[in-house]
Amino acid sequence: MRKFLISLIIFLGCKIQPSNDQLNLVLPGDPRSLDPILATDVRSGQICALLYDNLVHYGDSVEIVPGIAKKWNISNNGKKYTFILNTKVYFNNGKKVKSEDVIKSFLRIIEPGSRSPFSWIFDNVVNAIDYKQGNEKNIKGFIAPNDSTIIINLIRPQNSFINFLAMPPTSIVLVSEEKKIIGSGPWVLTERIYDGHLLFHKNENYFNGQPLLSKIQISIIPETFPRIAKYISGFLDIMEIPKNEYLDWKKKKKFNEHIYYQNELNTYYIGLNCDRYPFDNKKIRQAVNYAINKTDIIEKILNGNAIKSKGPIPPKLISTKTNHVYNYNIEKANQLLKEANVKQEIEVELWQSKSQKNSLITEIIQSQLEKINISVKIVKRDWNNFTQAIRNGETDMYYRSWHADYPDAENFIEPLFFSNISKKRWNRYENKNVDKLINRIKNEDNTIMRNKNILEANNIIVDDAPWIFLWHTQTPFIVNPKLKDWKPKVMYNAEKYLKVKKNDHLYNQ
Amino acid sequence: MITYIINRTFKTFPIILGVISASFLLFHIVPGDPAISMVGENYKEETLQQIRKELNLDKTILEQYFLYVTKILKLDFGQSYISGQKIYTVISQKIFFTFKLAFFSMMFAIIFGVFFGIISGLNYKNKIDRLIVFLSIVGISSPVFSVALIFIFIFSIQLKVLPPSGYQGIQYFILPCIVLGIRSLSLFIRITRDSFVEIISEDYIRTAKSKGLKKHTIINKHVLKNLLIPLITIVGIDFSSYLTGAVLTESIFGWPGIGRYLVDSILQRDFPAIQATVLFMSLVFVMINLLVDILYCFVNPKIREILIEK
Repeated sequence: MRKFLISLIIFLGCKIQPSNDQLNLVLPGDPRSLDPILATDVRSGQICALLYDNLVHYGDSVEIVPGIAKKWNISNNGKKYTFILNTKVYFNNGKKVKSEDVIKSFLRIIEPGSRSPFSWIFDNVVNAIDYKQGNEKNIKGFIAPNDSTIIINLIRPQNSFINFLAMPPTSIVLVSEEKKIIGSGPWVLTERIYDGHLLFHKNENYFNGQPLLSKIQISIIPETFPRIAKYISGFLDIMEIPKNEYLDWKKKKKFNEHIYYQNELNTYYIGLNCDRYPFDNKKIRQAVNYAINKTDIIEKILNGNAIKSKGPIPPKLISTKTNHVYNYNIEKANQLLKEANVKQEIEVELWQSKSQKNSLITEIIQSQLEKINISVKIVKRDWNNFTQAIRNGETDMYYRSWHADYPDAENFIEPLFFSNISKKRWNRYENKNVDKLINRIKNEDNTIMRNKNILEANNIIVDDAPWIFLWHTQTPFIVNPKLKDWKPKVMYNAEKYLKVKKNDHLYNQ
Repeated sequence: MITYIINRTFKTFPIILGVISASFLLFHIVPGDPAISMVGENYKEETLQQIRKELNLDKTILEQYFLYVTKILKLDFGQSYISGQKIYTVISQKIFFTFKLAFFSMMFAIIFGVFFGIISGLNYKNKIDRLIVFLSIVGISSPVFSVALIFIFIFSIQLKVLPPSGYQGIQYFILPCIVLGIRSLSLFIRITRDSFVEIISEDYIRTAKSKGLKKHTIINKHVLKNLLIPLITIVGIDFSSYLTGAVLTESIFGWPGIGRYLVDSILQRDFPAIQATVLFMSLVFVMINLLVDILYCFVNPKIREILIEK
């Protein structure tokens, strides 16, 4: 017994220390797929960024920087993209990255039978649609004149096309005979335990300079408390701050000086079904926009980590001021309802996907709408049933968000408000002028004219109010005090952790 | 004896078939199109049809049932809707972690439970006994979740002597094993103590004592032997629940085990994963019960006679 107690005391006397050469990260759940063409979720996209490279990458903000392509040229008519590849890029099996590998990687997305949901990316590439449908065996849009040059021919100019080439699905990979996907990225996956962790070792031959740390471990921890414990005990270097801790940590200097914010390109909204009563009436849609006190919700529920939406497009992507804003105004809301000739209480259903955070928000909205005599019934469904109900147009109102696939204002207009898409997938919004403007935006290669069209479309949409425009969020992160040179990037797949390092003597401060 | 084991084993087959059928029905009773769960939101119609075909959803229910049973016999549980990984591969990886956690927790519970139970019995009704009994009541009635959080707070955050979560080394085992095993440990203390007190007052023990038999011989030969039956029963029940239901412990300590996988799959409506995990868990229960029954026969000749007579 005495021996046992002595060994226990000795054991308790030895403090455990995390490694200084390893970056410890956390995710709340496993990534869906490490195959880039199937990487539909943010987690998978983040991991693909470590394993693979694209022709071009995102920089710290929304700018495009060289990746495997060291330079590129866009023809005057905007239809021909020529990329010159960096000849020092090698896959992790030692094979050099050549232009034929680039084409093969792109074809994986659009080959007939491919399960990738990203085939739309190349819809504007010459005869890509024919290839996708199996009508053509060769694709004329992708040309490799030599090992280090690749030419992409488009049907019409497309300003946002270069952004597509920085997205996770367009990563350049090599598929081995055993169907293993090999990348050229700065990190190599060496161990994976499902729902446990992913361990990466650095790629010493990385063309852009090898990473400063030698390992990254990403642990999968769904519960908040163990994540906090891991951070506090030094076993976690970067962590999204759990909502309940944020205000407390912000007040304490020890934590506050290590908090960083990521301004995300997203928009949170309530879709209003424009196809049926009551929201087929523009005035009622505008009335509900005036009736929501967004500031109140942002302060009370989101800890102030969001900015009010003036329209669908996040402020980072739209420079000019919009001319119509819905500020909280109950009188105005009531007046609009009066103008719409509403005399009885309106009864509507507000749909949400099941989650505690969503419920807090929809319940506040329910109580705020009650003030203008709109009775809201909240319907909670799991994600699949929720999205299917929206698709089928069964929802009066639904609480959702949209996150940018690529950093372009157009990504917040066409996929959400183009009548053909909205009628099939969303809230049945239709405005011929918006459709015309969207077509113009797609074909316009003059940036000034394009921005003008985007702004015009935005203003019409804001006036039509097919949504209740809510907010754009920012995510607070806390980092280990000894971690140096890390700041959150705007695009989720821009971070490759090349320059991050740890400072020894700061440990346990 | 062998006939009994064979008979008993055959009796498990209808149960297993029932479980397979129930898990098949589960897949068909729940609302929603499984193929849509698989393709995600932004799907192409042709992909949807292709998946329906792959899942055999275009066939009749009876055909689907037979195909399902055939697949399971070949240990093919299909693919996860969410990650696309083969469920057999994922589960076989997770069983290893769950088993490790369950085994070490049980070892911890048995060793310390019996040890403190005997100490308690030896000190019957004095201060040490009362303290141990009190602690065992606390152990039985403490919820796993709060014990885990308190332990992490003390040992990881305050003392910084044990890592808060993970599984890559011996020090990672200590907290989860204690947290998971604490309930069984408390039960073992109670049972050992009660059996000890009961046996020690038997006439034959008094005779043994008067013959000059040493204390440890009495404990080894008589007390521990009599303890085996209740011990096997509790180990059987608790071990199967550790293998299947250690969800909280696994979630808090970040263990990639089977319980957590089931809960995650339920939350994500990953039906093939739910089906396979439920099936696996039921098999574990059936197998452990079978094992416990067989062990009874070996341990207690009276039970063996009764069972064989039946």
